[in-house]
Amino acid sequence: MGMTGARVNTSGRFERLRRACRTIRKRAGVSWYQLRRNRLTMVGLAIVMLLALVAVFAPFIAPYPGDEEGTSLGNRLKPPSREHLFGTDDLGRDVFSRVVLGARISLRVGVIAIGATMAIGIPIGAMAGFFGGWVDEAMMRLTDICLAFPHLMLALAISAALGSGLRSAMLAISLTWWPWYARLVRGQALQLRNQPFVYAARSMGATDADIILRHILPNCIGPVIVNASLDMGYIILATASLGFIGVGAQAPTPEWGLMVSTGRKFFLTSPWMALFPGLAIFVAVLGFNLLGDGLRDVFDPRSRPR
Amino acid sequence: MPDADAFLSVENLKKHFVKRDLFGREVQRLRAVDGVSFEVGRGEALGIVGESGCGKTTTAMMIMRLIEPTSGRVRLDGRDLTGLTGEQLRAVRPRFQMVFQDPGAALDPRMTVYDALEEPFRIQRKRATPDVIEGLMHRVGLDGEHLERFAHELSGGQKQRLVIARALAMEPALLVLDEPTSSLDVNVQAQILNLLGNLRRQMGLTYVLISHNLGVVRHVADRVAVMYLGRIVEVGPVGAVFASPLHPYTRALFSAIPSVRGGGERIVLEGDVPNPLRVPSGCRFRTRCPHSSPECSIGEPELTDRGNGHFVACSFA
Amino acid sequence: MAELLEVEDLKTHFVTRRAVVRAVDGITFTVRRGEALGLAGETGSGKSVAARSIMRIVREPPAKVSARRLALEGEDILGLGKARLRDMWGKRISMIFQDPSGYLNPLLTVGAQMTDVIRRHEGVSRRAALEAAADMLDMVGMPEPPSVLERYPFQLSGGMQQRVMIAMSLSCRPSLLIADEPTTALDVTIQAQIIDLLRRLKEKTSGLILITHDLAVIAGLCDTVAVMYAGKLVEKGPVGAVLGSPAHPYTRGLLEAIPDAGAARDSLPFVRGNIPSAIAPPPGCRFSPRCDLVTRECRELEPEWREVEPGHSIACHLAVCGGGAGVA
Repeated sequence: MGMTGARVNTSGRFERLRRACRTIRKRAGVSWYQLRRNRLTMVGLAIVMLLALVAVFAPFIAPYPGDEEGTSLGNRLKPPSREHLFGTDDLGRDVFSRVVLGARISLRVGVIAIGATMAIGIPIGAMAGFFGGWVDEAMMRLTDICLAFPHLMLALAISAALGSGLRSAMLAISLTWWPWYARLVRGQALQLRNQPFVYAARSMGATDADIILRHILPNCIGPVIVNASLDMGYIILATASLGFIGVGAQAPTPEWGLMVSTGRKFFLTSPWMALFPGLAIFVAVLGFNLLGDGLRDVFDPRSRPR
Repeated sequence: MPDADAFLSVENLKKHFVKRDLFGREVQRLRAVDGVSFEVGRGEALGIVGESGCGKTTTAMMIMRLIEPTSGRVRLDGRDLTGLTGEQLRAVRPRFQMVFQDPGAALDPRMTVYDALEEPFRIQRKRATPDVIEGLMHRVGLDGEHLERFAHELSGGQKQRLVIARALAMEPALLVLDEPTSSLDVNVQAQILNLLGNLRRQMGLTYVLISHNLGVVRHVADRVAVMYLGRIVEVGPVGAVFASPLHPYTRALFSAIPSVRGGGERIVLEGDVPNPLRVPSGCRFRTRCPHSSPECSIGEPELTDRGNGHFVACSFA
Repeated sequence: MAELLEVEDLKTHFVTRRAVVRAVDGITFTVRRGEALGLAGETGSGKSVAARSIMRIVREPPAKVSARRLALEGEDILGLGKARLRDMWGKRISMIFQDPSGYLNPLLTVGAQMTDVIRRHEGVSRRAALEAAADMLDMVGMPEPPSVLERYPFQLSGGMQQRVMIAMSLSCRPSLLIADEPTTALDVTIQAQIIDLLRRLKEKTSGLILITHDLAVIAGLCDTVAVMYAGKLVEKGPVGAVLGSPAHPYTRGLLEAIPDAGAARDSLPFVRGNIPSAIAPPPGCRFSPRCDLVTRECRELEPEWREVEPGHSIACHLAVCGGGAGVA
């Protein structure tokens, strides 16, 4: 009896694991099927994947990965050629290499800033929506204040305090961006908290934390993912514009916005210096937006054209 | 009608939704439930019938402590539930469970059948062995092969079976059933009603059944309470109330039920149920009552005994 | 001509890339002038799709509607184009739905919506249309029609909204009114009011089709009934005969499953199993996998229609002429 009992138990555990795997596949499968139907979404996904690959393997892809300082001044401002696909800049650096290395920076900034944004915004939104009352009131006024802050001003202030750099730029973006997530999640939580399945969990004795973690957050995650992928584009853009006005990345960091800003001075004579990083920004933002729109269709059936 | 053996006793329960202005002055008061009292013995099934807006679901939510009552008491097995908070409340929650009207909404769309069945155990910090889960599914007649499905992939009847299984996982003594079959076809309804009947017999459960379907109430309940605009107007054994309804509202309600046999004379009430923001003075049914007289506007009639546990709140019935 | 609506071998198939869903798979019935037909069936039986196909408001594609004959007052309506259909809707056929709030525009007053319909079809002045609308509201038992005309849908209760819908759908005196679960969302006493109203209005239209899962509502309102199962009709005839002495095992099962307010029973009988898939329906009689009286013939051959008594027929192999199915 004991032996069979033990066997049942292990097979039970195995059974559960297998079930979990299948469930994940099924969940992913449904979305994959819907995602695949939309060609533009697939283009977005391809761009984002390509970007990620480029970012990961940047040092291997860039033909001149090490020439941050600019090797030979004789090579300055060369137009695109076989050796320098995107030409060279005012210090003789290979623009293609810098654009490739810049993918790494932009993606890292995007991921970290979105991560920080979600880490602040989601808990605040979930609590505000779930508890309501004065908690909601207090947290929503806080978000209003943060939303009212012009993010360029804040970025200037932060870089004045902490020094210019990508870190300040990310901090400034996260501090002004999280209220959007708080509002989004609050709206979802507000609807979800009156759902019968939440009442059911409560009547079984679930604590508030339990309900938020098990029922509210998992059901908000769809719109949050959609927004995050749309925002990746905006954040790359915002980082670039901070770099452009000089409070973000500092030379010689190969950050796209900064490169556009430097290239601006040479635009009439050597347009490739600003053009190619500018194109990189455009493609990256477009990729994330296309993907985000497609994900919205998957997660939110109401916006899906039928 | 206090009863020492009552398993569930509800005393003068009220829920008023009060809207206040900026200065805390009362702007309006919605009397959703306006003084409801009843008792249910151990193993008994009480049906509550009434139209939407009569307060029957609010009453159920207050018994479940999912809505805080404005005043009144709910006692389960002698213990006052209304005073409990936090951990104490969580500790007694397994004793009383609810089956919801729309089983689709009562299940988290992101959970599989397995997740949904495991949740009650997780919440109560118990281990859900495969045997236990299997036993539960067997008890409500669910197939093992459904374990990996999501709620929306089940039929309406299967969803309701799952909701019942989750409630049973807590080993409750009282089940509050809120319109458990109103979203189901008759054929599936019959199966769920049979299941509920068997469970009650086998496990000695006590039921509070809320329904607007009199056939369902007649089939499941031992006693029935009729609610109108936040109050009980008639209560008694199902046989007596169905055979000879006393309150004019109960009579109209019963006569309005269409029957495949094409029942007797129909009493069609005029107009809609009054707005619970403006409850009529005196007897609250008088505005629609075919027998109302000037005296009906003076004083609210209390439930009085007409013999054999049949109570009615009408001065003239 | 006595036939108002003739439906012969109506099929509605939804063609998707993966499969063909046979939601309605060959149903035949007629509605005579002045008659109310109840179309009964469970969720997924195809009764709503059938109604929408007759109305020609199913979306084609993915749906594909075909019929040997689909005629309103003798005129074929299967071949009508978009413009002709628009003329037909509201004027010759109109429909009311389960959830009236979903079909009333929340941003327009009741009066604006009702006069729109009337002016579209009758081409009368705004004032005349308003008067006609008020008359219609009066007819459906609405207190103070002029004030109702100025209100927005959300200011009305569910029962009142359904009355507005009924008034609106009758405002151009259609020949045929199709009511899809008109009382399901309403409370019992309000449901009784609406059934009463429909019964009174039956004379105002030439015909009524009532679609519902609730056989009791049909009993209270209709003259004839057709029971639908898995895309096909299984039994049809006068209400009294079909509901009083059901001959098809499915109809009988449905009727027995209804809990009775009159007397309590220990357990309710029910039809085991589920409605079969509309993609791959079982061969032979579609009810055969769930039928207690099934024979080999049932599993192989599709049953023919047989009359069990005058006007009352079933599609069942077990029917013997002159009596019900051979049941123990």
